[in-house]
Order: sequence, then C-alpha cells, then structure tokens
Amino acid sequence: MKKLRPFIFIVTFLVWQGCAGTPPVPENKPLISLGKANVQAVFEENEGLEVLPEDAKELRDFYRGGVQQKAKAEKEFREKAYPEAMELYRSSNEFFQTLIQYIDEDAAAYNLFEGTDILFFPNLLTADNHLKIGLICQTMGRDWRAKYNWKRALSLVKKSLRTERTEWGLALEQELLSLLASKQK
Amino acid sequence: MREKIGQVRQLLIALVGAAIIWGIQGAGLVQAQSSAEQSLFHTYAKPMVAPDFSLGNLDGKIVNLKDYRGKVILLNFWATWCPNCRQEAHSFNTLQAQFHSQALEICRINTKESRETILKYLEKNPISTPVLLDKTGKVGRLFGLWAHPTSYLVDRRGMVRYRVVGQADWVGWEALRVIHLLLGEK
Repeated sequence: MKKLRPFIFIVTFLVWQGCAGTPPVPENKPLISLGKANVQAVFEENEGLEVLPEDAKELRDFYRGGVQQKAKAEKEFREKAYPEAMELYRSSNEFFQTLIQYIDEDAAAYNLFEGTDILFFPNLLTADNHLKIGLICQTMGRDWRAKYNWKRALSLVKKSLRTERTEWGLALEQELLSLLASKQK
Repeated sequence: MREKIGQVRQLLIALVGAAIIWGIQGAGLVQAQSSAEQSLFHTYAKPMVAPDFSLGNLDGKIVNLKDYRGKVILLNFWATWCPNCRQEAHSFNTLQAQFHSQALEICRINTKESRETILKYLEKNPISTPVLLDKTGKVGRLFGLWAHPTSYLVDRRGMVRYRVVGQADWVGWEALRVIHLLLGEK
C-alpha cells in the first residue's frame, strides 16, 4: 500500500487538475431565446451565393460554406437519404473545423461590420452535425459510432454554452444527454 | 591522376551550377505563386449564377439585376463610413467613362445607409456611377458580404466570375485585364 501512495497522489492530482480545467457553464449570463438564435435563422443569414471548398479563402467563407452544407444535409436527413446526408454533414464539419482553429467562440451577435451582426455558432452547428451523424449511425446499427459522435457533440455544446447561453444549446444538451443515457442502459 | 582530379572538379562545378540554376528557378516559381496568391481578384472554382435582386436607386426607381443581362456588371458594396470605399470611388468614375459604351455596367450598392446620408456624401464627393440602396443588407447577405468594400464581377451570362475583397485600383492593369477579358466574351 505504501508503494502505491505516490501513484494514488499523482492520479488524484491529475483528476483534480482535469476538473479545474473544465469551467462550469456560467449561470449569470443572459439566456438567448430559441426565437433569436436557432438553426433556421442561421440558414437564412447564409443563403445565396454558394461557397465551394475550393473557393473558401477567408474565415467568413468557411462559416458560410459550413452552414450551406448543413442546410443541404438537413434536407437529405429529413428525406431519409442517410448516406447523402452523412457526406454533407461531414463536409459541413470540415468547413467548421478550419474556422474553429482561428475563432472558436460562439456568439449570438458577431459583428461583421458597422451595424451588421450575425449569428455565429460554429461549435453548436458542428455539435448538431455530430448529433445527426450519430442518429444515422444508430439507424445503421453502429451503436459505438453513434455514442462516439454524441459524446463529441456534447463536449462542443458545453463549449458553446460557456461562451453563449442559448435555449438552442441547452435543448441540444438535453437531447444528447438523454441519447447517451439510453445507450448506457 | 591529375586528369581525374580535373574531371571531379568539373563535375563538382557542373553540380554547383545546376544547383544554383535550380534554386533561382525555384525562387522564381515561389515568387510567381505568391504574387498569384496575393491577387485581389479571386476567381471561382465553378462560376455560379449571381443571386437575383431588386433594389431602389437614389431616384426611387427599382433596378433588377436581370435588367443588365448581356452586360458585364461590376457590383461594388460600399458605405460612406468606409475609408477604403471612399478612396476607390474615383477609379469607378474613370472606369465608367472608359467602358460604359462597351457594355460595362457599374452598380455601387450602399449597405444600410439612408438616402439622406448618401446624398450628403455625394454632394462633396460626386460620382457618376448609379447607386442602389440595400437598406436591410439582404442583398449583401445573398452575396456573402462580410467586409467593405467588396466587389463582384458578373459576366454577360449572369455568372459571378471574380470577387475583390478590399480596396482595388480599378484602372490598374489587373482590373483592366479582367474587364477586357469579360467584355471580350460573348
């Protein structure tokens, strides 16, 4: 037992450090309603001239491209064209991943230029993509893969909620928690 | 023995010479690539149809993008508060005078400012190109506008071919090359 003490100390220290590194979701931030920040509003802000991966040059292009691919993915998902939807969700996430390397905070009012703000939710949108990818995996019987995607989604939702408390994010968090809980039974 | 040393020396000189030439060529290539990357005129991998829109001009007349079909259109998004927009404005006057008769249409789309603000600005800075009012910013959103000034060049078939983010010299060689290219197409 004496020999184990240093290891126990190190493990305890690492666990404590890990907990310290994950700040809780601040409760005092104002809650942004679903009416203001929602996926449909994001789609509307980014419709129009399409951004192809080869044409994405600026960070704004990567956000716009990611949103446009997601809008297409949602349509396929609703029509149960799962392989097509999966490909589009992945393509959408590729756009967002490039963006998140540079700007990784969500914002309900991201200022583009004087007098123009946009809904900027790369983390939440990526999380939603992972949620849907997980659901598709579940229908294909790939439970392990579904769980993996939902876990990733949950960590992104938490990240989003730390910077912007949205009803949209909280609803997504609840959905993911219940999906993960159902898999643990 | 001496002959052999001479041969080795020659070989070494040849190798060093080749390395120098290769290095110079490589540097030239890198320079060419970086100057291409620095170009303000971004092309599109696959030209796409310009989103259609209708906007009012300063006289209240509604202008539709389709009205210009068959012409080369330069859409320039600007605002009076934007210093770079103010700076490039003069080159549009020159461009308009030079190419209007050759079917180049310049539309300067103002983002979210009132007619009064624009008229006040134009009193001091007169421009000959038409100004359209994007009061809600909807047209800017359709094009994915995120900075001022931003310009789009639309070809005769209504396809967006180039995008320029930031201030450009519209009477510079690069702009003229692109405009000549588009005007030369059917």
